[in-house]
Amino acid sequence: MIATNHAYVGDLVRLAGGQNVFASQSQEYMEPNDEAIQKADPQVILRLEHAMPTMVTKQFNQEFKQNAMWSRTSAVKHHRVYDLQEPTFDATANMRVVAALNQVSRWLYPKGAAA
Amino acid sequence: MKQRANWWYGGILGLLLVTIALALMAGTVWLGPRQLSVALSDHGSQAFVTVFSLRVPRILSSLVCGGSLAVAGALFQAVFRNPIADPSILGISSAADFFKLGGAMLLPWLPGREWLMALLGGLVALVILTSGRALADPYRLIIVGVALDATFVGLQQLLSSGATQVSHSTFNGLTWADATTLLVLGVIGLFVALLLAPWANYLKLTDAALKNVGVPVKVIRWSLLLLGMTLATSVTAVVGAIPFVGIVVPNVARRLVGHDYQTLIPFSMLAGAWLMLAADTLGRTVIVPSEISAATMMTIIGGPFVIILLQRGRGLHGMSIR
Amino acid sequence: MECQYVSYQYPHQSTGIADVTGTFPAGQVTTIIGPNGAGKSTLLKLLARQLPVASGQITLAGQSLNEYTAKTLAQQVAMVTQRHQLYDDMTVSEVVRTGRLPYHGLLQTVPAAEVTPYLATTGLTSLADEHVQNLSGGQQQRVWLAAALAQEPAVLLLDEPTTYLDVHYQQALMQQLRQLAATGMTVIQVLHDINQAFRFSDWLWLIKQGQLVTQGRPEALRQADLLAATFQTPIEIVDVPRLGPYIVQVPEASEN
Repeated sequence: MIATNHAYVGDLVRLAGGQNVFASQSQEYMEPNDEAIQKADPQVILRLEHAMPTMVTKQFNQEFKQNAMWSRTSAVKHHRVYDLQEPTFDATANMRVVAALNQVSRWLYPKGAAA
Repeated sequence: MKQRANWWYGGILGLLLVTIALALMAGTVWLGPRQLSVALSDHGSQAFVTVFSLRVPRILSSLVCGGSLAVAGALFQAVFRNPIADPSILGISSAADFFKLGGAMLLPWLPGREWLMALLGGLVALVILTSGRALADPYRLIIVGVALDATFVGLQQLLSSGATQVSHSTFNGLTWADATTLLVLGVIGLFVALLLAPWANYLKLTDAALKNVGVPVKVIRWSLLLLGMTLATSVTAVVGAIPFVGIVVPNVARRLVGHDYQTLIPFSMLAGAWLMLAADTLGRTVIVPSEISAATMMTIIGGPFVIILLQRGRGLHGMSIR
Repeated sequence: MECQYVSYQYPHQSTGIADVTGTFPAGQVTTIIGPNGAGKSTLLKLLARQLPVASGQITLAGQSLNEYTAKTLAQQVAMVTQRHQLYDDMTVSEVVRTGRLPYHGLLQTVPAAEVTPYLATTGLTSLADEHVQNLSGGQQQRVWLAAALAQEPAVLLLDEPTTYLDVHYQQALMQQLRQLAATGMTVIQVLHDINQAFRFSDWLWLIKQGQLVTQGRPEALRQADLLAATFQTPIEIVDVPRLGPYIVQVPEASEN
């Protein structure tokens, strides 16, 4: 499931100066298929570990290992896959939003980290 | 009848080829016949990767799954002597799904885990289904099956509550490894089904009549039941539960090619493969970049079909619905 | 075929068969008669090994029925039951072919040509590709008879074969059973119609409350008091011109 610019985590990308490859008119989340992801060719992938972090992380790693589609994205090729961990990140906004935004912009623009 | 059956065989084969061609071309990026041939000759191109790594395994998987589910349905209908019996409506598939999820939580180290757990789940549901009085009464059987299905779906939701990733029974994200597993299991199962097709015909007679001609009723009943269960749970293990294929396809097939299982089973295999591929191809192209899962597509097609079948047919006892 | 002290008891019921000893002569038509609940059908099921004998034994050609395998028994004994049921569409040819299963491997298919003679003897040749469900009761009965004959049995069992037939078909069937017996087949049937039983049988079994009252040739058993005692109703034997002796039930003495 992918968070679009209409969801909190999805919009963090825009606030940090990036562009969410799955922008939408109305949907908060969508489930693009492999072909669509491959075509969008994200440069950075942010994975939100939600609810049951240990199990979800394992599932993410397994999925990225087994499904070769991911390895063809620029993000994986350049090792720019990052895990958004609780409590800083969550599906909805919380008090740590400033830290979260800083973190995302450092991931997106490693050199010129914004203040 | 034979003549007509041959026409339908030709028809479904043609339809299958056309749909496979369309499925190769359609997607997020439309590839026409020329681009397709160019793509296949240039192994480095983006188009080749799209077709070979994403579309082909998906097409193969949906073909095998559709064929397996349709044949599993036909076998269940023969064994239970009930035209709407099928592993999904009787709770076999959702039991397999539930056990698969349970296995992922408890035994993540087990090799071949998903298939083994799905098979175990199917077996548990089958034992529950055949141990009580459900077998004696076709209506009771379906109601028990539906209750079993609801129970396992509920249990699965209970187990997965809180997890972000809920399984959706979709062909998206299937890899070559998944497709190969499906292909091997499905082709073996379907081959055995073709071999055992005469047994499904025997079960049109009563148990007493079969004993009179020296046929071991229990052996053939359980063989067909376990075969149907294995076919259905192999699909569940890799893709998830997909409803109604096993009900829709054999019942339409009976009208087209007749009630002889030796013609019905191979035809159901082809028709099921086509239906699944058509449903999945439609599902992944109508709302790009997202998609409608195969299970959802089949529910939309299959639900109304079963309602019409039962509202207009003569009933559940026996299969002489005309 | 012989019975020696054969008993069978239905679970949780008082009915059954007790200590029955008797023979079914080869190459003859034997009819089992008796009142409702006497155990006629039970006896037939025991002979077909559809029910297990509790004590005593049934022998066929000098060998206990239990020593036969399912397949070898099916090559010797065939059964036509009162009402056959099909769960799905089948053609006449398909049904009759199931009678050949005892002679084939479980995975083989029976060639259609193999049942041609049985379709011919039962007059079904022209109906071979019809669906059984679309046939009349009389035609359906012939289909099941053809399937039983396809087993090439030494013993043919029939449970009330005339029930769903009109008078014409009843006569035709009885004649056919006689012809089969004349070829050496042992025919054993249960009938409700006493007169039919006396007229078309070579041998009779009289059964009451699970026990054999007596067995013998029809002429020897045509006694009003014996039948009255067995059926527990007053019976007289009258002479019908051009037919001969006819068994009729008469009103109770007190009703006069």
